[in-house]
Amino acid sequence: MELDDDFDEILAQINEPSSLTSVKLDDPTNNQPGSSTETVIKPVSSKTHCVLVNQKQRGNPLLKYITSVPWEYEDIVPDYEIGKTIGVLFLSLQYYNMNPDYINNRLKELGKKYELRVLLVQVDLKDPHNPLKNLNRVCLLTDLTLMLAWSPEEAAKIIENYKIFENKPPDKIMEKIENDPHQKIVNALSSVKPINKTDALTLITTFGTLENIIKASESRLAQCPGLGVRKAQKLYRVLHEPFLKKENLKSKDFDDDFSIEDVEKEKSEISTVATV
Amino acid sequence: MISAEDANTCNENRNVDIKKPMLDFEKQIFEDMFDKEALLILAKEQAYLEGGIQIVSTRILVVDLLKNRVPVSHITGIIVLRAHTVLESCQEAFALRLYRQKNKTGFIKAFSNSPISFTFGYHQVEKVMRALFVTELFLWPRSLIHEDAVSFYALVSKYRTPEYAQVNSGWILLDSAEELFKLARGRVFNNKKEFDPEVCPKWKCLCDLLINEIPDDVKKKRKEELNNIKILILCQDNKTCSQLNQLLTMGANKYLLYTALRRDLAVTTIAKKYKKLKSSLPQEVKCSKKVDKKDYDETTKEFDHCDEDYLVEEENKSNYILTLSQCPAQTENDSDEDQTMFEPFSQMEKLDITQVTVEKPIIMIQTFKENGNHFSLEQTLENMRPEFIIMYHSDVSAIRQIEVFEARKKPEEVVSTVYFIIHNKTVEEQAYLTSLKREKQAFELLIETKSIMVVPTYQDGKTDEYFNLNIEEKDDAVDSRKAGGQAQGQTERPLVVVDMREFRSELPALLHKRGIHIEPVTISIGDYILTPDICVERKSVSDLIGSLNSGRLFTQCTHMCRNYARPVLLVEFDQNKPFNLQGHLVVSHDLSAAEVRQRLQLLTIHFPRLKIVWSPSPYATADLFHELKQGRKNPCVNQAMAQSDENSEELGWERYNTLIHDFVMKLPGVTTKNVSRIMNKGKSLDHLVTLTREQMCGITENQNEAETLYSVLHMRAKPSDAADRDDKPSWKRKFTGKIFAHKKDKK
Repeated sequence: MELDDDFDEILAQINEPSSLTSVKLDDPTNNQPGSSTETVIKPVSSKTHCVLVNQKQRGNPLLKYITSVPWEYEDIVPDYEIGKTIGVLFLSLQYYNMNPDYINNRLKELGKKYELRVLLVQVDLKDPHNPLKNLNRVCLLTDLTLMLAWSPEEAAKIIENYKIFENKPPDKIMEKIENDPHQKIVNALSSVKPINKTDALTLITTFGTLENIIKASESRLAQCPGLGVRKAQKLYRVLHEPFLKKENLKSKDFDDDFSIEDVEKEKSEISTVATV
Repeated sequence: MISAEDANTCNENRNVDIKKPMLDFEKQIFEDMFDKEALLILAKEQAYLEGGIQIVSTRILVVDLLKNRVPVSHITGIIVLRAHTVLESCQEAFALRLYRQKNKTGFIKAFSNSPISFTFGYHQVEKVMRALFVTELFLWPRSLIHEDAVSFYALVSKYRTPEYAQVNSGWILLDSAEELFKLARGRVFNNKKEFDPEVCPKWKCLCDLLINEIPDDVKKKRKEELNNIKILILCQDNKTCSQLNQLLTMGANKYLLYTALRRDLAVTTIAKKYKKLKSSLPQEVKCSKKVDKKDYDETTKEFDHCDEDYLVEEENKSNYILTLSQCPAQTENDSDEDQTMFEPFSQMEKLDITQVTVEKPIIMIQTFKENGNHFSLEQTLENMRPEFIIMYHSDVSAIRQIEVFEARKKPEEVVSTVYFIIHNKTVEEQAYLTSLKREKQAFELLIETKSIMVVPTYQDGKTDEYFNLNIEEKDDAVDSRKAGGQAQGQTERPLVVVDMREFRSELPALLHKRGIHIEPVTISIGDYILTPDICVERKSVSDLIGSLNSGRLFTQCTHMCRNYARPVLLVEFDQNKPFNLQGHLVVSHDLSAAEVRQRLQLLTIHFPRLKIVWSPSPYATADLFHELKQGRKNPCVNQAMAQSDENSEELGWERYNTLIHDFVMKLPGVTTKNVSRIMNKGKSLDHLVTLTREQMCGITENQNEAETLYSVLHMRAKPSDAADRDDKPSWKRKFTGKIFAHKKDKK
């Protein structure tokens, strides 16, 4: 089986022991918008170049389809562990139908570990909609990301992808950006809401360098043709904002966060609704 | 009120919802009392109160009803057109639902002129009636054609008539194609290899009608002057219209020759009868593979059309008006096909036909449906009131329209004569007869259905029984529904805030059916707000692929995660399509299935707080939303509207101040990899500006990036355009070089 080019990158990671034990603060994946800021407590593994597989997964057909990334059995809490930040639980819908409580226990064990918690569901039922509806709800309320696979090969691909893309920047899914530096500056300046492209160009021609714009006083900005007081005010405020927020690094728990028991109790209390 | 899904019932275009371009059928008309200012909501409410007949497009009506801008209790009744489409587009049913809930006395009447639409599927009639809240069905089958009202002209022709001058392509390598080609050629060139095309049989018949038969009929039977006669020729498409127009104004032979030349047919010699045609045409054309247009330019000025322009015009023009020309009567015998008696009635081009006061006979050539307008024929009939109608092609619905027109005529008015031109014993005839048969069968089915149909008494919606079927009993179940100790329960009606642009889909109507109140608002983040914490962005599978590719989804998720505790991405499948990603990727997009999956996973890595919900259909989504709302607070409408990426500062999700973060992200030298380092150690822009190159490098941990960022801050920025390229300042060159070197790192 041929290996991806990205495999080189994974191998390369082995030679950087510093990244394995570095503090949360410098982890590039941590501070993207939307990431939670709580620190993750888990034992540091020395084998993060491969996917770690729970012994309980022995016999799962998807394992034989994981070919692009190395994997090993290891004593871990979830079914699959990818890097330090991603934990994956595997669930077949058929199995879920027969043992609906199984997943509750696993979720309890998993708790809040890992930054990204994935429930990988293999859709192997002809009519998956009812169990899927429940699982949608469960994931939503217990803070899990639901991914669907329709075959063991697809499930394996999902695991592989998580490993491959684990530390990759989101450039592929972001809007294509200009490469021209001048254009970039114009874009940056016009990203401040009331400032438009024309204003940005005026600012650049008036002040010459970004440094000058940053150093300019609010009144000086307002004097710039086409700007005016309101825009100058806004621009000044944004440019002089400190990068870090003041009250920071506190772990933010959601108001009505649920544990799996609550979710189950709620489910049994909901009466069947007459469908149209 | 009249609810119209078809814009062609509206005469003007007014665009109320200016945020998204409206589809053809979503244009709205207001009565004359309105002008542009009336688009203000207050004026609109007043307008509704003024009364009279209002024609409203359904999507607008739904929103207005939800927002209580319409004085529902005052509505005397609603009329629905094209009722057979009510099931596909859910908006009409939704609007009627909203109307019936609050108004139990007004009427609902629905009309349809397509009996065949009701023959598809199971119990189609019952379903439509249920959706419309009507309990009675009235049928008016149109009578079939009578002998005395119509005459059939049968012509001898064994084959269908292809346009002789068409150029073939592709399939000509087949044997049968060869045969066909030979035959086709044989119809254009005679055995002497002279240009002598076969004239389309219908043309002969048409000309005969126009030149001989009708004038005879007028003179003898009606004893009228020819001058007041109006003839309407109906055909299927614009091309035929144009062809007939050319035919009648030029004469058959000239038209054929003209077409041959226009289409670059190699014409070497022409038959005798063409030699008389325009002495300006050389008797013997030089032999060449392609007829050189230039040769003809001087001598055949009137053939000097630009092909493309002409073809375009041909496509778009759907009616032509001709009249008898003033040429003296032909002295030569009838077999001379060069006579033309018609000329375009040029003054008529843009005029309304009712304005015509000139005493000239008028021939109008038109298609059945002018560019898709179902009512164009009706309009023409009403305005023109032709005494003679010639059906060059046959169409059942056109015939029905003509019948209605006849039936509505006053008794004094003369009954029109309708002529059909059909090739005998051909597919054309068969097709027409089959469509007649289908119509007859449709009516039979409807009559039978009506006799055995069961209509429940609550179907008219005038009692609340119908509406309560789908809503749970709220009062009793409150206690058992308390979940997790939440005190606030179901005492208030469940509410979901919905973005205005979502009303194209079925989901809002389905939510409403379940008893959830909908509040349509314009929100900049998300599509549905279920609770103060849960924000849902709904994507169909094709939307998902498109926005993953374009980067839009990333931006949307960024905003959602910044503003809401539980951002949700809803992936909604179409219930008629397979429930998996593979099935959807055959269509258009240039992404492979694997790439889509990778990108989606990349999204989840970067937005771990984002939840993905997979729904097989809008029905399942409505179910799910309902369950998610159990025991939770309703969202606050004003808050939802106010959410934008500006005020996400107050919420605690982000580590950095978002505005400055977004600004810094856009600067050259800043990448997704080093931005966090810069933000952590850079303190602020003021501080960044004071750093040296080395200090900068210490933060970015990358020399190139540091260099770029340093340059951006301290050097003059110049726009790069062609003029500058030659004398680019050195720092600029360094820039681009570094940027490219840069790129290799960022995979």
